[in-house]
Amino acid sequence: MSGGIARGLLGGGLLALAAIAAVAFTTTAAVAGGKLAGGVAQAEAIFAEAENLLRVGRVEQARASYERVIKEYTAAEYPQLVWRAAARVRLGDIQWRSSERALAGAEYVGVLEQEPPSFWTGRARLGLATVVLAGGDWVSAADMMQRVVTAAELGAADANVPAAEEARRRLTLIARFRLRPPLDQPLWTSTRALAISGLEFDRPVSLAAAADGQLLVVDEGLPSVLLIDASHANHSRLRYNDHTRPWWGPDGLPYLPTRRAGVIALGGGHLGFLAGDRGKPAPVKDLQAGARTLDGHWYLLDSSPRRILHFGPQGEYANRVTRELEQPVDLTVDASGRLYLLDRSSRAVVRFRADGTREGRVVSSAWRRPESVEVDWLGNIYVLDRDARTIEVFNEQGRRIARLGPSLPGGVALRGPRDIAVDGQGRLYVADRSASAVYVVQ
Amino acid sequence: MRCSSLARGRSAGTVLAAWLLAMALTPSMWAHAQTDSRIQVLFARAERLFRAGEHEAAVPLVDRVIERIDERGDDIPERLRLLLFRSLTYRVIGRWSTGARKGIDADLDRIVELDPRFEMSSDDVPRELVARFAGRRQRKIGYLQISVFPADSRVLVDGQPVDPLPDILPVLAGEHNIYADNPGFAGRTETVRVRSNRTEGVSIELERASATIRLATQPAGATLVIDDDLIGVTVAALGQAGGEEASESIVIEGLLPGWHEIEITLPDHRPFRQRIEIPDLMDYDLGTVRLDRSMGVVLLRGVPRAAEVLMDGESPPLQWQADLAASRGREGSARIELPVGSYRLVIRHGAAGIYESDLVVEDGATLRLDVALRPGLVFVGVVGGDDLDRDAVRTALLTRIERIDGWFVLDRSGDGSLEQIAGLRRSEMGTGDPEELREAVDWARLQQEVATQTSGSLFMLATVPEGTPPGVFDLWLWSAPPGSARPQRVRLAVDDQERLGMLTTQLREPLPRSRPWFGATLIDNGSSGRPTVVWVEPTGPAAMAGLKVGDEIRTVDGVEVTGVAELQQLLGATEPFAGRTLQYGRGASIAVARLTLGSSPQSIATLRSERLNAVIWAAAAAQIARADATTPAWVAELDQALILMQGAQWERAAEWLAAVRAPEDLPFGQSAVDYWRGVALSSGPEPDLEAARLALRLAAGRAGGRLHHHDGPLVAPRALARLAELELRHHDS
Repeated sequence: MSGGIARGLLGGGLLALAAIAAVAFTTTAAVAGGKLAGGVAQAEAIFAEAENLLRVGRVEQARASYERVIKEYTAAEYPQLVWRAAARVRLGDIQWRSSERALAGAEYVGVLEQEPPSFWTGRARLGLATVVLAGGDWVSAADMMQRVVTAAELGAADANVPAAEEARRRLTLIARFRLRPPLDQPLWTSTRALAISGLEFDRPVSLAAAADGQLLVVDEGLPSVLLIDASHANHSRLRYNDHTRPWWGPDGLPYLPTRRAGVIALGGGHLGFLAGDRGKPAPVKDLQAGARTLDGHWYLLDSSPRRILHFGPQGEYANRVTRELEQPVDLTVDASGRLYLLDRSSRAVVRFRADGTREGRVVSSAWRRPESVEVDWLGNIYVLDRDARTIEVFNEQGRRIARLGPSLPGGVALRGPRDIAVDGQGRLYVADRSASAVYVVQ
Repeated sequence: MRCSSLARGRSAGTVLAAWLLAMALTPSMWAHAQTDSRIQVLFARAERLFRAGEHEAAVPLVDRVIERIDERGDDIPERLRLLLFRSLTYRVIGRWSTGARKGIDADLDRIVELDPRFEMSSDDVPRELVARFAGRRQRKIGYLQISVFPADSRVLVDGQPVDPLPDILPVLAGEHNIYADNPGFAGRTETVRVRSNRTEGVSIELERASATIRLATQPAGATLVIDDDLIGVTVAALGQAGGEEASESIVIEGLLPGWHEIEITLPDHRPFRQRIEIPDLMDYDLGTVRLDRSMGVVLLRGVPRAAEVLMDGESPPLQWQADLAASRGREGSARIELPVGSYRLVIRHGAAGIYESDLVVEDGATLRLDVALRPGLVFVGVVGGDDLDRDAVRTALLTRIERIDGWFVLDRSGDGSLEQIAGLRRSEMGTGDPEELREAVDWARLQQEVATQTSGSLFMLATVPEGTPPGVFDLWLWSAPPGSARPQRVRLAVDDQERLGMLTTQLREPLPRSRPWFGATLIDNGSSGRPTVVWVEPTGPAAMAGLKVGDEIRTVDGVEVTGVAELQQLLGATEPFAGRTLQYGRGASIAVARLTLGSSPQSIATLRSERLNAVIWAAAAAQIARADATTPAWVAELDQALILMQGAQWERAAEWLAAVRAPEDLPFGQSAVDYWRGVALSSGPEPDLEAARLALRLAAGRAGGRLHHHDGPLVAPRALARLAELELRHHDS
C-alpha cells in the first residue's frame, strides 16, 4: 500500500546549492570553446536533472545520472569541468548514506586530489571530515574543516562560503565537546533568555533549531508560530494552527506537524499522509513530531495510536517503525541518517541505522518524564526530562557526559521545560512554558 | 748594430711575387724575361742535340744562344752567364769535334774569363782540346793565396763571396780587390795585382771593432730589440715550417763593452728581458732563448665532474682541486690552463642544465667563475601559417622567455633541421583542431631526435593551425627523456599579455619554494573567538615553543588575531627560521611563547589545470641533477612522480616512487611517498591491489604524516579512506 503526498513548492536547500554551483561553472566555463562548450552544457544539464531526482527522493536514478557525468566527461577531455567534481561529491554523499559508505571517503578524496579546485572542493572536504569523524578521528576531521574555513576566508580557488559556515559551526561544536572536557572546562558556561524586540513569549511549548541558529518556536499562548533569524534579533509570525513539535530538516527547511492538517512545510504546501498495512489507507492524524532524512524519507509520530510511521520520499507509506509496547514521545534523525526515538515506557532512546535496521537502545536512564530528544552533528544525544527539569547529554556510545538543570549554567532555573533543540555549534535552546521564556545555553 | 743571417729562406712565392711586382714596374724587364725564356728554349734544344752526339746540328743553335746573350752587352744576369758558359763549352767541344776550329781560342778565353776556376777534364773532352784550354788558361789567370784572420771571416773577391775560401784561388790576371769582414770586426779591403801564371799572397788581419752576441729563439719569429734598437725578427731554421722549433742563430754585432738591455718578444708569449754586461770585445753566445707562452688559469667553481666542459668547442684538460666546496661535499673546482685570449665557455650536464660565458684569459691571471647550471629551454621553432605569422609568434615568445632567470634559452627556430625532425609540414596542420595534430605527430620520435640534436631540458614548439584568428597559436611543451614525450598544449595569442604572462610565471617559478613550518593544527573556535590549538606536532616548532592542545592564540608580535586565516597570513609572511612572539591563553591564564618557525619543503599540489607539467618535470630534473641543497632531491622526485600520475602513467609512477627515500621522522616525508605509491598502484587498467594496500597501510600507520608540506593535509585519513575502498573492491572481486 502506498500513500501519497500533496506536493508543494519545496524551495531552498538543494536548489540553492545548485544555483551557487552554476555561478562557479560560468566562471570556469569561459575557458571552453567549440564542441567542448556543448559538452559542458550537456554535463550541466545531466547534473541538474540528477539534483532534481535526488530532491524528490529518487536516489538510484539520481545516482545513475551522477555516474554518467563522471564517466562521460572525463578529466582528459574536460580538465576544468566543475560538474564532474560536483557529481563525485554527490555520489559520495549517496554512498555515505547507503550500504556503500566505505566508498564515500575515497570518492571525496578523489575530488580533492583529481579535480581542479572549485566550490565543490569544500563540500568534498566536509564530506571526508564526516567520514573521518565516524571513524573516531576528530582531530583529522577538524583539520579538514578548518581548511574549508580558511579557504573561504582567504578567497582561494576552492572557497565555498556556505560550506565554510557549516564547517565553522562544526568546529565550534568540536571545540566544545573535545577540547573543553580534557581541560576540565564546562561544556556550557552561560544561559540567557531570548530577548527579541517586539516579541514576548507567553507559553512556548515546542521549538526547533536550524544548524545556523534559526529557530522555529510554537507559542500556544500567543498563539503563534515564530520564526526567529540566526542572529536572534528578528522574527516573523505565522498563524498558529494546532501545531505540535516542529523540526528542521537536513535540507534546511522547517517542518510543522499539526494535529489536524498534516505537515506544513514552511515555504510551501500542506502535506497529508496516508498509512495502512492492511486494507484502505487512512489519513495520519494528530501528528506530534516528525523527522526527515536527507534522502527524503519521512518519519512521523502520531499520537493515536502512538506509533512512528515511515514514509518514502514520495510520501508512500513504508512501514511502522515502533513495536507494540513502545510509547514514543519524540524522534529525531542525525547527520548520517540514523533515527532516534524516545520511548517513555522503557525510558530509553532507541536508535535505527540509516538503512532502517534497528540498532537497539543506545541510552537508558531513570527519567521521570522524558519529553524530547535531540542529536547534534557529533552524535551526542540530548534528552529533556520534563518533570525533573533536567537535560541529560550522552555521547554517541550512550555514556552520559553532562547534566543540565534544573539550574542552567549562569544560574537560570528551569520551571516548566517542554522542549529542547540544539544548533550546529552546540548551543542548546529550551522552551520553558512556565517561565514564558526560550533560553539559549552556550 | 747589425745582424746577419736574417730573413733567409723567404718562400719562393715571395720571390715570385716580388719579381712579378718588379716586372709590373719595368716593362723592359718584362721584355727581357720573354727573351730569356726563348734563349733557354734554344739552349735546351741545342743541349739535347749535343748529348745525342749531333754536334753539327747543335753548334748553330748554340751560336744563336751566344749571340742572343751577347746582345745584352755587359748587363748579363747570373742565370744567363751560366748559360753562356755552358753554351761556349758546347760550342768549343762541338767545333772541335766537327773540325770547325776557327774561333775556338776566343771561346776558350771567354770560358776562362767567365770562370777562372774552371778546369776542363778529359773525361768527355779530347785531350788536345783539354791541353789547348789549359794553355789558354795559363796565359790568362794567376792565383791568389788569401789568408785572413779571424779564419771564419767572410771574404769577397771583387765583390763576390768566396766560400769556402780555398788555399789557392785562381783569378784572372789583373787587379783584384779582396775584402774581408767578420761580425765584431772592422771590414778591410786589400788590392792586389795578379800576374798570369803567378801566385800572389794576401794576408788580411781584421781588427776587433765590437763585441758580438749569438742567440736563437724558440720558437722562431721573435722580435729582437737591444738597447731600444730594433734588431730584427728570428726566422725558422731551414726545413722547419714554424711551430715551436728553435730559430736559426743570429749574430748581433756593434756592441761595445758595458751593460745592454736585450728584449725578445713574440705574440702570445711572455717577453724575455735581460740586462747583460759585455766585459770585453769578444764573441758571446747566449744559446737558445726559450720563450714561454703567456698562459692564464680559469677556475670553475660548482661544475659537476660529469659535466662536459668546452672551450671554443674543444675539451681542455681539467685539473680538479679541493676547495671549500669540496669540504662541503661538493665537487671542488675545475682548473684549466689556457693560452691568453678570448674564449667561449660552454658547460653541459644533462638535466642539470647548461652554462655559457665569454671570457678573456690574461697572462698569469686566474679567472674565477661560479658556474650556475640552468636547465636548457629549447625553442624548436614555429610551424604553419605564413612568414608574418611565424615572425609574430617567434617575436612574442622570445621577447618573453629570453629574460627569464633560471633557464638557459636556446633559440633553434632558425635551424630548419629541427623542424624537419618534427616531420611537420603545412599539410599536417589540418583543420585547426590541435588534437588532430596531437595524433598525427610521432611525439616520442620527435622527443628522442630533438634531444639527440641539442641539449635541453624543456622543448617548445609553436604551431599556427589553419582557420584560427590572426595571432593565435598553439604552444606545445614537452620535457627531455625520461620525461613524457606526450606534450602539453597551451593556446596563446601574440597580443594576449595575460596568457603569455602566465607562461612566463610558470617558467620563472615552476616549483614551489620551501615555506615556513609552524607545526600545529588550529581551528576557529566560535565559543572563544580565538584560533585554538587541537594538535601539536611533537618535534615541530610549536611544540618547541611550548604550545599545547587547547591553547588559544591571542596575539602575534602584539597584533591581535581572531581567526586561523589571519594567523596563517601573519606567519606565512615570515621567513623560515625567523622568530615571532605569541601570546596565548591557557585556561584562565595568559602566557607568552617565543616561536621560531621551521622550514618545510613543498611539493606541487595534486592538480592545477593551468600548470605546465613539462616545465615542472624539467625543473625538478634540474634540481635533482644539480643536487640542489636548498630542496631535497626526494621532493623533486616526488614531483616528477605526481606528473607521471597526472598523465595516467600509473605503473611508471609506482616504480618511480618505489625508489624514492624520504625522511621518516618528519611530517612531510616517507608517509606521503607511500601514500602516492599506494594511489598509483591502485589505479590504472591493471592495478596491484595487494601492493597498494601495503603501501597505504604504511602511509596510514605514521601518525602526523602530511602531504605537500609539513603543515599540509593529513595522510592517514586519505589513506584509510582509500584502503576502505580497496577492501570493498577486493571483497567484491
